[in-house]
Amino acid sequence: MPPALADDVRTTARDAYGTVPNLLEETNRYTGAPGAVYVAADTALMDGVLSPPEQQIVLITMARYHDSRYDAVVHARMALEAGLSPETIDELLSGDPLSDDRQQALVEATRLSCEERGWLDPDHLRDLEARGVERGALYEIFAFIGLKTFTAFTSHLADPEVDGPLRIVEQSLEHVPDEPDTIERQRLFMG
Amino acid sequence: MSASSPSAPSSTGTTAPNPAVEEVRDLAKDFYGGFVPNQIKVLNEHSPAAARMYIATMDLVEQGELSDREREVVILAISRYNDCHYCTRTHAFLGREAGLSQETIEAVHRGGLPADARLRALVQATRRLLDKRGWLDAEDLEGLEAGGIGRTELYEINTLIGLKTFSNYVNHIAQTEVDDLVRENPDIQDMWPVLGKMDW
Repeated sequence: MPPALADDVRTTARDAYGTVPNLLEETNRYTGAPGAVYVAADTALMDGVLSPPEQQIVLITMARYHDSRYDAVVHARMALEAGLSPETIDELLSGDPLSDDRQQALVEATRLSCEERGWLDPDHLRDLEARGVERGALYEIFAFIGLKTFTAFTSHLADPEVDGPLRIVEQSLEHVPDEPDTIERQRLFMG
Repeated sequence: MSASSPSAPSSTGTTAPNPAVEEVRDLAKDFYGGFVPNQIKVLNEHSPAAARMYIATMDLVEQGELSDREREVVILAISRYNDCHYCTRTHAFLGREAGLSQETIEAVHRGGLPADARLRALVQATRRLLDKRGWLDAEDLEGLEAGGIGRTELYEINTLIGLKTFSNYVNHIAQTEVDDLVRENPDIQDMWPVLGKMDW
Protein backbone atom coordinates (compact mmCIF):
# COMPACT_ATOMS: atom_id res chain seq x y z
CA MET A 1 0.00 0.00 0.00
CA PRO A 2 1.28 3.51 -0.62
CA PRO A 3 1.90 4.65 3.02
CA ALA A 4 1.32 8.24 1.93
CA LEU A 5 -2.38 7.56 1.40
CA ALA A 6 -2.85 6.13 4.91
CA ASP A 7 -0.84 9.03 6.35
CA ASP A 8 -3.04 11.51 4.49
CA VAL A 9 -6.12 9.82 5.94
CA ARG A 10 -4.78 10.20 9.49
CA THR A 11 -3.90 13.87 8.98
CA THR A 12 -7.21 14.75 7.33
CA ALA A 13 -9.22 12.79 9.88
CA ARG A 14 -7.48 14.51 12.80
CA ASP A 15 -8.19 17.89 11.22
CA ALA A 16 -11.82 17.07 10.47
CA TYR A 17 -12.84 14.95 13.46
CA GLY A 18 -10.16 15.71 16.06
CA THR A 19 -9.11 12.07 16.06
CA VAL A 20 -8.66 9.11 13.74
CA PRO A 21 -11.83 7.03 14.18
CA ASN A 22 -11.21 3.39 15.09
CA LEU A 23 -12.87 2.22 11.87
CA LEU A 24 -10.42 4.17 9.73
CA GLU A 25 -7.48 3.01 11.88
CA GLU A 26 -8.58 -0.53 11.13
CA THR A 27 -8.89 -0.08 7.34
CA ASN A 28 -5.63 1.88 7.27
CA ARG A 29 -3.82 -1.20 8.59
CA TYR A 30 -4.55 -2.92 5.28
CA THR A 31 -5.22 -0.22 2.68
CA GLY A 32 -5.42 3.56 2.68
CA ALA A 33 -8.11 3.73 -0.01
CA PRO A 34 -11.25 3.25 2.15
CA GLY A 35 -10.25 5.95 4.64
CA ALA A 36 -9.25 8.33 1.86
CA VAL A 37 -12.57 7.77 0.12
CA TYR A 38 -14.49 8.33 3.35
CA VAL A 39 -12.91 11.65 4.27
CA ALA A 40 -13.06 12.95 0.68
CA ALA A 41 -16.73 12.03 0.38
CA ASP A 42 -17.55 13.59 3.71
CA THR A 43 -15.78 16.81 2.73
CA ALA A 44 -17.44 17.06 -0.69
CA LEU A 45 -20.94 16.45 0.64
CA MET A 46 -20.64 19.19 3.25
CA ASP A 47 -21.33 21.64 0.40
CA GLY A 48 -24.44 19.82 -0.72
CA VAL A 49 -28.10 20.80 -0.70
CA LEU A 50 -28.84 18.80 2.47
CA SER A 51 -28.20 20.75 5.67
CA PRO A 52 -26.03 19.17 8.41
CA PRO A 53 -29.06 18.06 10.51
CA GLU A 54 -30.70 16.61 7.38
CA GLN A 55 -27.50 14.73 6.54
CA GLN A 56 -27.45 13.22 10.03
CA ILE A 57 -31.09 12.12 9.68
CA VAL A 58 -30.14 10.16 6.57
CA LEU A 59 -26.98 8.77 8.17
CA ILE A 60 -28.72 7.57 11.34
CA THR A 61 -31.47 6.03 9.23
CA MET A 62 -28.77 4.09 7.39
CA ALA A 63 -27.08 3.02 10.63
CA ARG A 64 -30.39 1.57 11.75
CA TYR A 65 -31.11 0.00 8.35
CA HIS A 66 -27.77 -1.83 8.44
CA ASP A 67 -27.87 -2.57 12.20
CA SER A 68 -24.55 -0.79 12.61
CA ARG A 69 -23.83 0.02 16.24
CA TYR A 70 -20.63 1.89 15.41
CA ASP A 71 -22.27 4.16 12.84
CA ALA A 72 -25.28 4.76 15.08
CA VAL A 73 -23.12 6.04 17.93
CA VAL A 74 -20.89 8.18 15.68
CA HIS A 75 -23.85 9.82 13.98
CA ALA A 76 -25.85 10.25 17.17
CA ARG A 77 -22.98 12.38 18.43
CA MET A 78 -22.74 14.30 15.15
CA ALA A 79 -26.50 14.77 15.08
CA LEU A 80 -26.42 16.35 18.52
CA GLU A 81 -23.65 18.67 17.33
CA ALA A 82 -25.75 19.52 14.25
CA GLY A 83 -28.66 20.55 16.45
CA LEU A 84 -30.99 17.55 16.40
CA SER A 85 -32.66 16.84 19.73
CA PRO A 86 -32.01 13.64 21.73
CA GLU A 87 -35.71 12.83 21.22
CA THR A 88 -35.38 13.01 17.42
CA ILE A 89 -32.28 10.82 17.52
CA ASP A 90 -34.11 8.28 19.66
CA GLU A 91 -37.06 8.30 17.23
CA LEU A 92 -34.68 7.71 14.32
CA LEU A 93 -32.96 4.81 16.07
CA SER A 94 -36.21 3.23 17.19
CA GLY A 95 -37.90 3.68 13.81
CA ASP A 96 -40.65 5.92 15.12
CA PRO A 97 -41.95 8.52 12.64
CA LEU A 98 -40.71 12.09 12.98
CA SER A 99 -43.27 14.84 13.44
CA ASP A 100 -41.63 17.15 10.88
CA ASP A 101 -42.86 16.01 7.45
CA ARG A 102 -39.76 17.09 5.52
CA GLN A 103 -37.54 15.20 7.97
CA GLN A 104 -39.81 12.16 7.80
CA ALA A 105 -39.71 12.35 4.00
CA LEU A 106 -35.90 12.12 4.20
CA VAL A 107 -36.20 9.01 6.37
CA GLU A 108 -38.69 7.43 3.97
CA ALA A 109 -36.62 8.33 0.89
CA THR A 110 -33.59 6.68 2.49
CA ARG A 111 -35.35 3.49 3.53
CA LEU A 112 -37.32 3.12 0.32
CA SER A 113 -34.23 3.61 -1.82
CA CYS A 114 -32.47 0.82 0.08
CA GLU A 115 -35.44 -1.53 -0.02
CA GLU A 116 -36.01 -0.96 -3.76
CA ARG A 117 -32.28 -0.91 -4.62
CA GLY A 118 -32.71 2.57 -6.03
CA TRP A 119 -35.67 1.75 -8.29
CA LEU A 120 -38.00 4.51 -7.13
CA ASP A 121 -41.05 4.69 -9.36
CA PRO A 122 -42.58 7.97 -10.65
CA ASP A 123 -45.25 7.99 -7.92
CA HIS A 124 -42.61 7.77 -5.20
CA LEU A 125 -40.54 10.48 -6.85
CA ARG A 126 -43.55 12.79 -7.14
CA ASP A 127 -44.53 12.21 -3.52
CA LEU A 128 -41.01 12.93 -2.28
CA GLU A 129 -40.72 16.03 -4.44
CA ALA A 130 -44.02 17.34 -3.11
CA ARG A 131 -42.61 16.92 0.39
CA GLY A 132 -39.43 18.84 -0.43
CA VAL A 133 -37.09 16.02 -1.39
CA GLU A 134 -36.07 17.11 -4.85
CA ARG A 135 -33.63 15.50 -7.23
CA GLY A 136 -30.46 17.08 -5.76
CA ALA A 137 -31.41 15.96 -2.26
CA LEU A 138 -32.18 12.48 -3.55
CA TYR A 139 -28.80 12.18 -5.26
CA GLU A 140 -27.11 13.19 -2.02
CA ILE A 141 -29.21 10.66 -0.12
CA PHE A 142 -27.93 8.01 -2.56
CA ALA A 143 -24.37 9.20 -1.89
CA PHE A 144 -24.91 8.81 1.87
CA ILE A 145 -26.55 5.43 1.34
CA GLY A 146 -23.41 4.33 -0.47
CA LEU A 147 -21.10 5.78 2.13
CA LYS A 148 -22.94 4.16 5.04
CA THR A 149 -23.30 0.84 3.25
CA PHE A 150 -19.52 0.83 2.93
CA THR A 151 -18.90 1.74 6.58
CA ALA A 152 -21.60 -0.58 7.92
CA PHE A 153 -20.33 -3.59 5.96
CA THR A 154 -16.80 -2.78 7.12
CA SER A 155 -17.91 -2.38 10.72
CA HIS A 156 -19.69 -5.74 10.54
CA LEU A 157 -16.37 -7.34 9.56
CA ALA A 158 -14.03 -5.33 11.77
CA ASP A 159 -16.27 -4.90 14.82
CA PRO A 160 -14.41 -1.74 15.89
CA GLU A 161 -14.67 -0.47 19.44
CA VAL A 162 -16.71 2.68 19.80
CA ASP A 163 -14.22 5.55 19.98
CA GLY A 164 -13.43 6.61 23.56
CA PRO A 165 -15.02 10.07 23.51
CA LEU A 166 -18.24 8.59 22.11
CA ARG A 167 -18.84 5.96 24.79
CA ILE A 168 -20.80 8.41 26.89
CA VAL A 169 -23.08 9.00 23.89
CA GLU A 170 -23.58 5.26 23.47
CA GLN A 171 -24.57 4.95 27.14
CA SER A 172 -27.15 7.68 26.72
CA LEU A 173 -28.90 6.00 23.79
CA GLU A 174 -31.96 3.91 24.43
CA HIS A 175 -31.96 2.10 21.09
CA VAL A 176 -28.54 1.05 19.80
CA PRO A 177 -28.64 -1.35 16.85
CA ASP A 178 -26.71 -4.59 17.03
CA GLU A 179 -26.05 -7.71 14.99
CA PRO A 180 -29.34 -9.42 14.11
CA ASP A 181 -29.98 -12.88 15.57
CA THR A 182 -30.35 -14.36 12.10
CA ILE A 183 -28.37 -13.42 9.03
CA GLU A 184 -30.23 -14.44 5.89
CA ARG A 185 -28.44 -14.71 2.59
CA GLN A 186 -30.44 -13.19 -0.25
CA ARG A 187 -28.85 -14.90 -3.21
CA LEU A 188 -29.37 -13.22 -6.60
CA PHE A 189 -26.60 -14.95 -8.58
CA MET A 190 -24.51 -18.09 -8.53
CA GLY A 191 -21.13 -18.12 -6.86
CA MET B 1 -31.09 23.87 3.06
CA SER B 2 -27.45 24.86 3.26
CA ALA B 3 -26.24 25.37 -0.26
CA SER B 4 -27.45 27.12 -3.34
CA SER B 5 -29.33 25.36 -6.08
CA PRO B 6 -27.17 24.54 -9.11
CA SER B 7 -28.13 27.66 -11.03
CA ALA B 8 -29.75 30.92 -10.04
CA PRO B 9 -32.06 33.00 -12.27
CA SER B 10 -30.70 36.48 -12.91
CA SER B 11 -32.68 39.72 -12.88
CA THR B 12 -32.95 39.53 -16.66
CA GLY B 13 -34.61 36.15 -16.51
CA THR B 14 -31.60 34.25 -17.82
CA THR B 15 -29.82 31.63 -15.76
CA ALA B 16 -26.50 32.72 -14.30
CA PRO B 17 -23.73 30.13 -14.43
CA ASN B 18 -23.14 28.53 -11.06
CA PRO B 19 -19.43 28.49 -10.21
CA ALA B 20 -19.80 25.13 -8.45
CA VAL B 21 -21.23 23.58 -11.61
CA GLU B 22 -18.45 25.06 -13.73
CA GLU B 23 -15.79 23.85 -11.29
CA VAL B 24 -17.11 20.30 -11.34
CA ARG B 25 -17.24 20.34 -15.14
CA ASP B 26 -13.58 21.39 -15.25
CA LEU B 27 -12.67 18.77 -12.65
CA ALA B 28 -14.42 16.10 -14.70
CA LYS B 29 -12.62 17.15 -17.87
CA ASP B 30 -9.28 16.88 -16.04
CA PHE B 31 -10.12 13.50 -14.58
CA TYR B 32 -11.69 11.94 -17.67
CA GLY B 33 -9.30 13.38 -20.28
CA GLY B 34 -11.43 16.20 -21.63
CA PHE B 35 -14.67 14.23 -21.60
CA VAL B 36 -17.60 14.72 -19.21
CA PRO B 37 -19.56 11.45 -18.79
CA ASN B 38 -23.34 11.71 -18.87
CA GLN B 39 -23.56 10.45 -15.29
CA ILE B 40 -21.48 13.39 -14.10
CA LYS B 41 -23.64 15.78 -16.12
CA VAL B 42 -26.77 14.31 -14.53
CA LEU B 43 -25.35 14.65 -11.03
CA ASN B 44 -23.89 18.10 -11.63
CA GLU B 45 -27.20 19.44 -12.88
CA HIS B 46 -28.81 18.88 -9.48
CA SER B 47 -25.98 18.49 -6.97
CA PRO B 48 -22.46 19.63 -7.84
CA ALA B 49 -21.41 18.33 -4.40
CA ALA B 50 -22.52 14.80 -5.26
CA ALA B 51 -20.80 15.01 -8.64
CA ARG B 52 -17.58 16.21 -7.02
CA MET B 53 -17.82 13.44 -4.44
CA TYR B 54 -18.06 10.80 -7.17
CA ILE B 55 -15.10 12.12 -9.18
CA ALA B 56 -12.88 12.60 -6.12
CA THR B 57 -13.59 9.21 -4.60
CA MET B 58 -13.23 7.23 -7.82
CA ASP B 59 -9.84 8.88 -8.23
CA LEU B 60 -8.81 7.80 -4.72
CA VAL B 61 -10.08 4.26 -5.01
CA GLU B 62 -7.80 3.81 -8.01
CA GLN B 63 -4.89 4.29 -5.60
CA GLY B 64 -5.91 1.19 -3.63
CA GLU B 65 -4.40 -2.27 -3.62
CA LEU B 66 -6.68 -3.87 -6.21
CA SER B 67 -5.31 -3.76 -9.74
CA ASP B 68 -7.28 -1.99 -12.46
CA ARG B 69 -8.78 -5.19 -13.83
CA GLU B 70 -9.57 -6.50 -10.33
CA ARG B 71 -11.35 -3.28 -9.45
CA GLU B 72 -13.29 -3.33 -12.72
CA VAL B 73 -14.50 -6.90 -12.24
CA VAL B 74 -15.75 -6.00 -8.76
CA ILE B 75 -17.53 -2.92 -10.14
CA LEU B 76 -19.14 -5.05 -12.85
CA ALA B 77 -20.38 -7.54 -10.27
CA ILE B 78 -21.90 -4.75 -8.15
CA SER B 79 -23.46 -2.97 -11.12
CA ARG B 80 -24.98 -6.21 -12.39
CA TYR B 81 -26.26 -6.96 -8.90
CA ASN B 82 -28.06 -3.62 -8.92
CA ASP B 83 -29.01 -3.96 -12.62
CA CYS B 84 -27.53 -0.62 -13.59
CA HIS B 85 -27.86 -0.20 -17.38
CA TYR B 86 -25.29 2.61 -17.44
CA CYS B 87 -22.57 1.16 -15.20
CA THR B 88 -22.70 -2.37 -16.63
CA ARG B 89 -21.96 -0.93 -20.07
CA THR B 90 -19.52 1.78 -19.00
CA HIS B 91 -17.49 -0.62 -16.88
CA ALA B 92 -17.61 -3.27 -19.57
CA PHE B 93 -15.81 -0.66 -21.68
CA LEU B 94 -13.43 0.30 -18.88
CA GLY B 95 -12.95 -3.37 -17.99
CA ARG B 96 -11.83 -4.14 -21.56
CA GLU B 97 -9.41 -1.20 -21.35
CA ALA B 98 -8.09 -2.60 -18.05
CA GLY B 99 -7.46 -6.00 -19.61
CA LEU B 100 -10.57 -8.03 -18.77
CA SER B 101 -11.53 -10.48 -21.49
CA GLN B 102 -14.85 -10.31 -23.27
CA GLU B 103 -15.66 -13.76 -21.80
CA THR B 104 -15.03 -12.57 -18.24
CA ILE B 105 -17.27 -9.54 -18.66
CA GLU B 106 -20.05 -11.54 -20.27
CA ALA B 107 -19.81 -14.19 -17.53
CA VAL B 108 -20.35 -11.56 -14.83
CA HIS B 109 -23.17 -9.96 -16.81
CA ARG B 110 -24.90 -13.33 -17.13
CA GLY B 111 -24.63 -13.90 -13.38
CA GLY B 112 -21.88 -16.48 -13.74
CA LEU B 113 -18.24 -16.49 -12.70
CA PRO B 114 -14.98 -15.68 -14.49
CA ALA B 115 -12.64 -18.56 -15.39
CA ASP B 116 -9.61 -16.81 -13.87
CA ALA B 117 -9.24 -17.95 -10.24
CA ARG B 118 -8.36 -14.56 -8.77
CA LEU B 119 -11.16 -12.73 -10.59
CA ARG B 120 -13.60 -15.51 -9.70
CA ALA B 121 -12.71 -15.16 -6.01
CA LEU B 122 -13.22 -11.39 -6.15
CA VAL B 123 -16.65 -11.74 -7.77
CA GLN B 124 -17.64 -14.39 -5.23
CA ALA B 125 -16.55 -12.15 -2.36
CA THR B 126 -18.49 -9.20 -3.79
CA ARG B 127 -21.69 -11.22 -4.18
CA ARG B 128 -21.30 -12.75 -0.72
CA LEU B 129 -20.95 -9.31 0.87
CA LEU B 130 -24.01 -8.03 -1.00
CA ASP B 131 -26.08 -11.15 -0.36
CA LYS B 132 -25.36 -11.05 3.38
CA ARG B 133 -25.33 -7.25 3.72
CA GLY B 134 -21.79 -7.39 5.02
CA TRP B 135 -22.41 -9.92 7.79
CA LEU B 136 -19.82 -12.51 6.80
CA ASP B 137 -19.29 -15.26 9.36
CA ALA B 138 -16.14 -17.21 10.19
CA GLU B 139 -16.94 -19.85 7.60
CA ASP B 140 -17.39 -17.22 4.88
CA LEU B 141 -14.11 -15.55 5.82
CA GLU B 142 -12.25 -18.87 5.92
CA GLY B 143 -13.54 -19.82 2.48
CA LEU B 144 -12.64 -16.47 0.98
CA GLU B 145 -9.22 -16.51 2.63
CA ALA B 146 -8.53 -19.87 0.98
CA GLY B 147 -9.17 -18.11 -2.35
CA GLY B 148 -6.75 -15.32 -1.50
CA ILE B 149 -9.34 -12.79 -0.36
CA GLY B 150 -8.34 -11.13 2.90
CA ARG B 151 -9.13 -7.92 4.71
CA THR B 152 -7.40 -5.73 2.15
CA GLU B 153 -9.62 -7.01 -0.63
CA LEU B 154 -12.78 -7.05 1.49
CA TYR B 155 -12.33 -3.48 2.69
CA GLU B 156 -11.71 -2.24 -0.83
CA ILE B 157 -14.68 -4.22 -2.16
CA ASN B 158 -16.87 -2.63 0.52
CA THR B 159 -15.64 0.79 -0.59
CA LEU B 160 -16.54 -0.01 -4.18
CA ILE B 161 -19.94 -1.34 -3.10
CA GLY B 162 -20.58 2.03 -1.48
CA LEU B 163 -19.51 4.10 -4.47
CA LYS B 164 -21.29 2.00 -7.05
CA THR B 165 -24.47 1.71 -5.00
CA PHE B 166 -24.55 5.50 -5.15
CA SER B 167 -24.02 5.72 -8.90
CA ASN B 168 -26.24 2.72 -9.71
CA TYR B 169 -29.18 4.30 -7.87
CA VAL B 170 -28.61 7.68 -9.55
CA ASN B 171 -28.65 6.04 -12.97
CA HIS B 172 -31.84 4.14 -12.17
CA ILE B 173 -33.88 7.23 -11.54
CA ALA B 174 -32.09 9.47 -14.04
CA GLN B 175 -32.18 6.81 -16.79
CA THR B 176 -28.79 8.18 -17.75
CA GLU B 177 -28.04 7.84 -21.44
CA VAL B 178 -25.04 5.62 -22.13
CA ASP B 179 -22.16 7.73 -23.48
CA ASP B 180 -21.53 7.52 -27.24
CA LEU B 181 -17.92 6.60 -26.56
CA VAL B 182 -19.14 3.43 -24.84
CA ARG B 183 -22.18 2.66 -26.99
CA GLU B 184 -20.24 2.86 -30.25
CA ASN B 185 -17.31 0.74 -29.09
CA PRO B 186 -17.13 -2.52 -31.11
CA ASP B 187 -16.54 -4.67 -27.99
CA ILE B 188 -19.64 -3.24 -26.36
CA GLN B 189 -21.59 -3.66 -29.60
CA ASP B 190 -20.62 -7.36 -29.51
CA MET B 191 -21.86 -7.59 -25.94
CA TRP B 192 -25.07 -5.74 -26.62
CA PRO B 193 -27.14 -8.91 -27.17
CA VAL B 194 -25.98 -10.21 -23.76
CA LEU B 195 -26.72 -6.94 -22.06
CA GLY B 196 -29.99 -6.60 -23.93
CA LYS B 197 -31.24 -9.98 -22.72
CA MET B 198 -30.92 -9.07 -19.07
CA ASP B 199 -34.18 -9.05 -17.25
CA TRP B 200 -34.31 -5.37 -16.31
